[in-house]
Amino acid sequence: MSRCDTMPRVPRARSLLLAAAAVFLALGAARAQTWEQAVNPAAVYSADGKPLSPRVVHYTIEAKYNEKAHTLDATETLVYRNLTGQPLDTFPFHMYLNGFQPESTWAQEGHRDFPTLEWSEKNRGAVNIQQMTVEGMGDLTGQLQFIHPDDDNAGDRSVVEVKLPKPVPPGASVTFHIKFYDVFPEVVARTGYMHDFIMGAQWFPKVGVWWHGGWNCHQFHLNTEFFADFGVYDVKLTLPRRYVTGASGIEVGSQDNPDGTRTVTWHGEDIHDFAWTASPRFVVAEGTFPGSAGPVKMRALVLRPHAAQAQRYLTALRQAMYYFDHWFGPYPYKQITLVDPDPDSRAGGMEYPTLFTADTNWWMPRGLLAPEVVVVHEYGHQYWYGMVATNEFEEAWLDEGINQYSETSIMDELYGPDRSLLDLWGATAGDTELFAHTFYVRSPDTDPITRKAYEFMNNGAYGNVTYGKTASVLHTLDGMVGKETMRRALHTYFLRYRFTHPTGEDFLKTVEEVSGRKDLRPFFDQAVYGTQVLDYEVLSVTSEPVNWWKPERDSGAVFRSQVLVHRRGDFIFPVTVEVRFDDGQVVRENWDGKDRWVRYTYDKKAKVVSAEVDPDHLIYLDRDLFNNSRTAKPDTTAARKLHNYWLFFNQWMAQIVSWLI
Amino acid sequence: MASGGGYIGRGAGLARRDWPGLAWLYLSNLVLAALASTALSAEFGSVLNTSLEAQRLAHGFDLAVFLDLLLRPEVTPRLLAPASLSFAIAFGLVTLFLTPGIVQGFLSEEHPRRGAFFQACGHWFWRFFWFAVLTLPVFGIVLGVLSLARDALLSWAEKSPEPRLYFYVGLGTLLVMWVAAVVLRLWFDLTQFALVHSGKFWRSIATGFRLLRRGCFRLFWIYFSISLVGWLGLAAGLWLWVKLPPERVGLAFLLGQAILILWLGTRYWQRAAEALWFREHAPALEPAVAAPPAPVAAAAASPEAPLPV
Repeated sequence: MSRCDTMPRVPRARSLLLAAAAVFLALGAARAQTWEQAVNPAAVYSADGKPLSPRVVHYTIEAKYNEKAHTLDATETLVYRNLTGQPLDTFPFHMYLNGFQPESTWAQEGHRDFPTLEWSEKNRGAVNIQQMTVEGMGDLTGQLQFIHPDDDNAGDRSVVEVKLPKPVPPGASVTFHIKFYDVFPEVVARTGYMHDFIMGAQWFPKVGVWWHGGWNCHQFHLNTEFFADFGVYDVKLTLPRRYVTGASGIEVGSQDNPDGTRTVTWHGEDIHDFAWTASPRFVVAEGTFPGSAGPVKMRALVLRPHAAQAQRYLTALRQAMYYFDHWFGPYPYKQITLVDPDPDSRAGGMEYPTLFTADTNWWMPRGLLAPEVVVVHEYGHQYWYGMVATNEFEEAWLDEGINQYSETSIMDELYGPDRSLLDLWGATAGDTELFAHTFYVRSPDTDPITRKAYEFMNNGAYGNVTYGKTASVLHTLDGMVGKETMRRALHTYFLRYRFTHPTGEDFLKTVEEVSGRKDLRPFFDQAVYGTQVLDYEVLSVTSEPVNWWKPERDSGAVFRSQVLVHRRGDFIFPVTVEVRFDDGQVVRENWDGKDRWVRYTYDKKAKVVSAEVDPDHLIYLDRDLFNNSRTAKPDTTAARKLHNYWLFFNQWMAQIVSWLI
Repeated sequence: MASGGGYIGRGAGLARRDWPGLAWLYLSNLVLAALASTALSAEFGSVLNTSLEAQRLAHGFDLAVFLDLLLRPEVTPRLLAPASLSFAIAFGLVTLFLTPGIVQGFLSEEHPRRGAFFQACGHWFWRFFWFAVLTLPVFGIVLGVLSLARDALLSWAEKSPEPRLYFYVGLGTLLVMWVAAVVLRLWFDLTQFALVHSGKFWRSIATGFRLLRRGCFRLFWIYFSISLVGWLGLAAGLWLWVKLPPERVGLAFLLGQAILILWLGTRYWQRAAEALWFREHAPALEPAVAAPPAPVAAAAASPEAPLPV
């Protein structure tokens, strides 16, 4: 008798169940094993196998999201390596979510700049540290103290400091264990929930940066973004199983839990922040970009109502990746995640390491390139914010401004400078024209672009100067040193300073070095460090017979043409003036712009037709482009055209009103 | 009884017969709008006429250049809004003045002479004015209530994660508001006809309402069909406008005016078609329409006319 014969028989259905259970257990074990093995797969391409960044911090976070209360319970372990060269006994932490409280500096500044906006309890956010222990030093929760390094606002709780009982020696590490609790707002400043969409950004206690001999850990301000040290992130997020998730880094594990939740594990390297997102309405679209560092997985999380635009997103992303790779340098991460947020959330257009939010709407026409602009812009942040990682509190222009220049350059290259934002129903607009020059024109002289982000006159000036003026300055530099040279300068700047937190001077010196131009300082002093306004105008163009006093005019009369050019602004800049005559002659003059005006006089048989300052349209910093030229004879076409629109609008509206009678 | 199509076709014929009324409306619309927009034209001209940058607006429509233009201190479109509003009110008053003459013409068998037309305009003006004063609150209340309901529905739709819902709810509720407004408009049109027909101010309102109840669907269909012509004409006109070479300002002006005439014309046509229906359904048509307008004193003496005339 064989052993098999002696075994009791089991019903067929039961045997199938047992078999299924065995397979499930085996798969579970395999998954667990895979997860264990995959705890630390490389999330980046490194030619020599070494870390790309100093990796000052290593965060390990386990968090569980409560979808009904929009809260999150988490534990955080932070290993901080003291590479400062000196002992450290105090550590400040950013508590960004506490900015979304009416007493905070963020909210106070918001009320200052937007007094009509009302506070709503739905906008309240919070991060509370329930316990902080430090290995070898015990429970230091009682030592935590909110500090206000930028102002005297005692109600602000966006920075907390802990003093250790003994200092951490140079070269040593210290491990913090933090238990914290988040309350997410209905999306504020691109953070929080909207419907069933959640954007988990700036959501955990994050240590400040030891920079230039001290802690750099500013309060959360209305105009400030972020600054942090590079490191490694291992994050486990638990959410209801129906949610599709995305996050910084790469996914290294996923486990379904018996309570209907799923725990997804993410691993990121050489990044300085970690953001995540989730929604049950996300549809995943993927592609691969053959980057120069290695293939990059493009993962787009697109809301179901926008699913038809997934390919549009991926195409824009591929184009952005191509240009950044070719112009500035390689993208070394293995994945980039594009998030299409809930359109009511206003969470679109924000950058996080290896993840960004785009923006679209279900009705978005092809001729309006807003989604493309957002994708190119936010992907660009992966370079200037993500890798170069300048201090956005103090020198926001180095990220937002350079990135605005990058975005507008790429969009203009892709779609043409006149229609790189809009080409719809006969109307056109260029990205550079609208999102650089027109921004700048709105605040040409309020603040230097190097001003700390939280010290700008107001939110409008911050945006117009940091984005618009910086991009206009760099496009003007294009004209001064050549586009190719500027690209090489940015390429050098990126490769030299990635993962190092450089300063504005590092950038400007790189431009000087690569261009070989030592004469750029006066320009930098006025355009970058100053608030001088650049505005040249052609005051008059006239042509009169040389013998103007003679009553008779013969056919061969010689005319004296005069062109008067005026420097209206206080920004001194050499310009070219082009004078056109009615016999087709074109004369170009170069003026150093040092005096307030210059007069050009010509005795010719031809009369002057027009004169134009900057005929090649290279000076984007010129505040007023209308007065750059003057024609001898008026052409009323444009004014009549606009008058026609206005007339039509008035007549039509009046007809609508008279319908009531 | 004639079909809706019959009224529409015959209405077009009647509107064509009485075209001078339309011409007066259009001319006043154009002249008043021109007066309202001249200042802006001058402001634009002061910046654009001698600037090469203006070419980007002349040979296309560069939005960035246009926004730059609006940012200039010389250009103050916000200050021109009062002029536009004043113009719209002035045009409303002109329409109010011309409407009685137009209505009387539509209700008569023959094309009115110019003298009779303006005599009717002057004769009925104050009654039409007070009637308009009465109708505006009715429009306000009905559309206001519907607007509140619309807002409530929209805030409900806003909570939905489906973004299209908000759009469709918005569109659907606008449609409902439009239908309600058209029904009110039809009532008031019929009342204006009854007023000219009988000369009795308050009784006309009741007559208009009774007639509306009787022919609501037919009248709505007439109104809607003719509106469709206007909307399709507007869409086709705007499509053509976009296709025009951008520097052909004169042609664009003519096309724009053609669209506006079409819009004004469809309203004129609607009134004509409604008037034909009214003529066939009004209780007693002969006295007021056949005879010249009653003298002001006689109308004022009527016990049905306590309002100032």
